[in-house]
Amino acid sequence: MFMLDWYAHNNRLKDAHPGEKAVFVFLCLGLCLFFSRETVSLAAILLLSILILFYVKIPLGFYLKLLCLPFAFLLPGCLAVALELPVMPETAVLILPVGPFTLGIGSAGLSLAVNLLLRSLAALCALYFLALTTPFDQLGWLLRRAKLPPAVVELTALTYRFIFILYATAQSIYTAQATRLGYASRCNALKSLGSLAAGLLYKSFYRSQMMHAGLLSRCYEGTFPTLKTYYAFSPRNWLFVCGTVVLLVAMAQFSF
Amino acid sequence: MSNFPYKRQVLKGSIFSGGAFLLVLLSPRAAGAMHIMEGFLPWGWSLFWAAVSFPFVFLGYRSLSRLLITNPNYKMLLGLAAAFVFVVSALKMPSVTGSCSHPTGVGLGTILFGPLVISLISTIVLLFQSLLLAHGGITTLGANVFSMGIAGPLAAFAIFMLGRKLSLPRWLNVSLTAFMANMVTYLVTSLQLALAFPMESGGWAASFLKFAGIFAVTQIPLALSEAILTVIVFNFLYSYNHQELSTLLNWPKEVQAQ
Repeated sequence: MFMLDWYAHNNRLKDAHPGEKAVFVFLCLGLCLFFSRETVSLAAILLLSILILFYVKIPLGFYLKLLCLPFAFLLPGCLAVALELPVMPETAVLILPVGPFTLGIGSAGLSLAVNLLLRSLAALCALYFLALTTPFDQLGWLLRRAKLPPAVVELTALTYRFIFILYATAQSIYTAQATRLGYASRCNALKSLGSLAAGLLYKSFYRSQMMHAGLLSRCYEGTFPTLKTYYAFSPRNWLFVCGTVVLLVAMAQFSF
Repeated sequence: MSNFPYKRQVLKGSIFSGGAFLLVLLSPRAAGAMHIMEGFLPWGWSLFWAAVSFPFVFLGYRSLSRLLITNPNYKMLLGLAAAFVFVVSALKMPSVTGSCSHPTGVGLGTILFGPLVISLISTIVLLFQSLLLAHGGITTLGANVFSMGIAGPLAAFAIFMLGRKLSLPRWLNVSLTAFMANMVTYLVTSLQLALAFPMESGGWAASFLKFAGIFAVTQIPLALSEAILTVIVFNFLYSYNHQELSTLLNWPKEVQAQ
């Protein structure tokens, strides 16, 4: 389930300066959204995919699986954008008469939907680049550098740690229930899932108390001080970021 | 750009063919809470929703930091609450229509932790959902926080309090709360999409109906099954962990009192 996290800790760019990666990703996201042109989106998709597959060395199968994940939202979303209710028959690409209305997909709606699909995919590639190359401690470093209140950053770090603990707990409860035919029928499944969630809540509550007691006994004063980490800037990476910006801005001048 | 090389096609059919067409498109994956995906909103709207959500999250932070002065162990508890909401939203539950769906955990979270704290918690949850599960996104974080972390919980909390005042039976109150949290999240998300993509004829109101109509196929069964699941969770909590639950349930009052 958390393969994304595994790759974040095991890739070629994991020791790169987190600021460089964040600037790169946010520039890609910002330019794709700002220009909102098919050419820019396509260039960003190609560039980021090549980077992820051949430089970061993520297996193709896993990457394709990742790209398919958000289609449950993307397909109906784009379909909804493309649908027009009283569709003009002259510009329509597809007409569906539904009772007294004529639903349909017009050419304007279709081009908007295609644009949206490409833009979302480009933004998704940028998000994956960040998720696949940046381990959580670097994200925490970024959040601290963004001057977020320390309490929020620590809460985020705690959440990150607890997600894995609770997920492992949920998995073992699930296995125990499933071996006792807890998920054999729909009714059983709902009941088992309910007891799983309740048990998980109780366990998390109990664990939080224990953890607090444990921390107090180790002189906890409300903060988790950590050693400062220093990352080295790399001129080559900055050159690459500048090149990407120039490429995307140049692509915005073209259109189909 | 106006002439797409697609063949013009006219499908003649009744409402049935349209419905079947949609179902085939929508059915293959387990549906989850409706988050707007990365890059789907134009940049103006992304910034707008981030600006709208910010004060609420800030209020959540303020109430948290006040609570932390008197009860420092709330940090642990909140971290676990956020992780709990995340893990619950990653569970697969059988949906009433037959396929699977993921619960959102917002209704349950609101009843347990109160609406103000949930806004902060769900910001963190949504951040991790986008980074660990590729569900939602960074540019649409503001919009998703508003629908799942602010509008949904506030509506749910209002319903829960109203139900308490009317002294509804517990199962009815809890299920209504979970149902409303889901429905409001889904309707607000549809509204956000409609505002960003209004139709040429009919404007955003017609567009809202369109988005709400298409996503209803997955979201209404999800809301129903989550209502059932939340009642089951609550019954378990009441019968086995009454003590802990009452400690948790005092939370909203404490948050409001400060």
